[in-house]
Amino acid sequence: MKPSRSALPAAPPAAAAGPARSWVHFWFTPVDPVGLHVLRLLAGLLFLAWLLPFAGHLDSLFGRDGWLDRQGYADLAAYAESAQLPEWLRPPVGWSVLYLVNANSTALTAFYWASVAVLALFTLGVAPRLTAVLAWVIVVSFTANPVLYYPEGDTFLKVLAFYLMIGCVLVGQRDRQRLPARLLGLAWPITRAVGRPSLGANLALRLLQVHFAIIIVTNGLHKLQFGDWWSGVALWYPLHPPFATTLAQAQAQAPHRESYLFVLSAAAYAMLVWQIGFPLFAWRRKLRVVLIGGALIGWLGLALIYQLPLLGPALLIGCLSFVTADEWHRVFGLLARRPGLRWLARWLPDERAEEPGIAGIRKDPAASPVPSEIRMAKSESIMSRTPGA
Amino acid sequence: MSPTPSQTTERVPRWLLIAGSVAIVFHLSAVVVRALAAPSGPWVSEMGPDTATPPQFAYTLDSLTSPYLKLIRLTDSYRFPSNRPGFSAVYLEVRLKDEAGQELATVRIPDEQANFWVRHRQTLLAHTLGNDQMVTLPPSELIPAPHQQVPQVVYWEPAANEPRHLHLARKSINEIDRNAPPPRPSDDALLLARSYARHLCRVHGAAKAEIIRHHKNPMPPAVLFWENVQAGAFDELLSFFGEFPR
Repeated sequence: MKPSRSALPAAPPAAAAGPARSWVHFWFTPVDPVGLHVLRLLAGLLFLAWLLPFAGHLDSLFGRDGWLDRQGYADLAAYAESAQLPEWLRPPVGWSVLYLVNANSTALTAFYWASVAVLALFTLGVAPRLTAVLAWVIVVSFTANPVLYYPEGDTFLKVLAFYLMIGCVLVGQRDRQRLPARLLGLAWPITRAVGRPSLGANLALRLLQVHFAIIIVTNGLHKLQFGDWWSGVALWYPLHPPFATTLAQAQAQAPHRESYLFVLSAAAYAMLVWQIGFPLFAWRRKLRVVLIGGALIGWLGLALIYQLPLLGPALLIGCLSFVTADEWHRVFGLLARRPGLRWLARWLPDERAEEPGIAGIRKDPAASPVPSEIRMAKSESIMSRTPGA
Repeated sequence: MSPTPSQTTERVPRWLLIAGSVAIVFHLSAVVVRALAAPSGPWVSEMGPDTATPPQFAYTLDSLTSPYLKLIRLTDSYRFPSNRPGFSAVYLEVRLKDEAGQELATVRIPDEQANFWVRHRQTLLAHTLGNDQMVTLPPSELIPAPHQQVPQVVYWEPAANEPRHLHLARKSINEIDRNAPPPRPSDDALLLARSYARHLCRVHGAAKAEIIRHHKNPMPPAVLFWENVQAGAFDELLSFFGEFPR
């Protein structure tokens, strides 16, 4: 049977009952990989934004004679061993390809720029099966230095890189492909964005979603270990950094302290509710505004109040992993109707899926679940390509 | 819950369902166990604020799954430092000197001239050196074994003439005041200070580097209600790590 190119997910694979059926439905329902590719594009941009600013500081940050030199690594390992530190107190040192090249400044620079090139190809979707694996290796290699380790941001980079690697490797595995395509993966978005429903795409997205929810909830619960979160004044501290705030400046808020603390505590509690209640709304379509709106506000707050780079965009990308394929199509459909964005229509589901006999799914166009804005954008895009239209 | 079921009939082999399910359960369990296998707190205890150890089941299971997580480099416990409010602000001043002790250059970390992303990593470095701990004392005075000495501790001691200056000092653990144990730099902070000093000496051709930590405690929100605040209560504190050779 000719495979459908429909954007619709395929059926749950096995008929089972109750929790088993839900489990199989959740994890093993093939979906259109468009969501995975959007995440890959956004995460690739984030990886580039993270790595590129280190240019010019490579020897200091990653060299064998850098901030943590070879002797420093040896001392750290010896200390962890002699003090018999438990796992949670051990410095987060892990394997890294950089250890092979960081003794030589030229080799380190070459590796760095090669890494930037690989991340650029990964972002563009060139040979994603290969570049996704390399992107993961790059991300974990450049986050291996315990001195530079930035738990809030680097954690998300590693999580995104890992699941995108799984997704990019698995997508299209069941397609009949020539060996080079099988090894490298099909290029996207150079070719069509919309592929046949993929089990691998669903698996990667589901793993990312669940892992992301674990991070957010754990992080929210961790905040409850500090009295300042309970009393709602946690945001006071990043808003009044010690070296940038004088006592007079802080006390200037005193005349309206009740309203000031009211706002701060309400914002702190809103953060806690959003994080701890995350699983309650993350998978609900009707509450997308809470999910995405919260991530956008979080990005703003993390950048402006906490001055934390990476975490805001990583948070947003993580939240976007919950957006389904047909929601992405709806977004593309709306965007493709804007002048200058018609090219987005090529990422919409193939209209052939609407024709009887190809997918053999929808005989009645009126009953088509493809949103009207997508169909309209498609037809507008075709019209704009027609001479004289 | 998305995605919605559809009408195509592609089937997944049963063996793949079972193998995939086992892999998913193992992987996510390892992630959850790692999140649980971290200390919590600090909580109120008889000995003052203290962290609580992780639950034994999580600790035991984590020891089994951590090789897997280390391999895929997902070993974080997701308890981010920024969750802890009221961190002190820290910057470092490093005075680079030649053999004769003449000052060659002074480096400040975080460097105001560095780009935002690099400056952020420099802030992380400075904070690692600012992560002081209290000296932990044994329950009773230690009596050394024959021909052995009582262990010594390195701690921060206020300078005699400078009110807000701290110097590193070393003393027998039995001589520490039990009623007011002093703070000390963490062990990894001392390791890192040495390593960073060596790095700067190499870069600037210096013989030794003196690291000075500038440190300022945050003002609590209670200042909004205080009428009179003691002068200098939130002034900068200077901690001298001493000179480190190249």
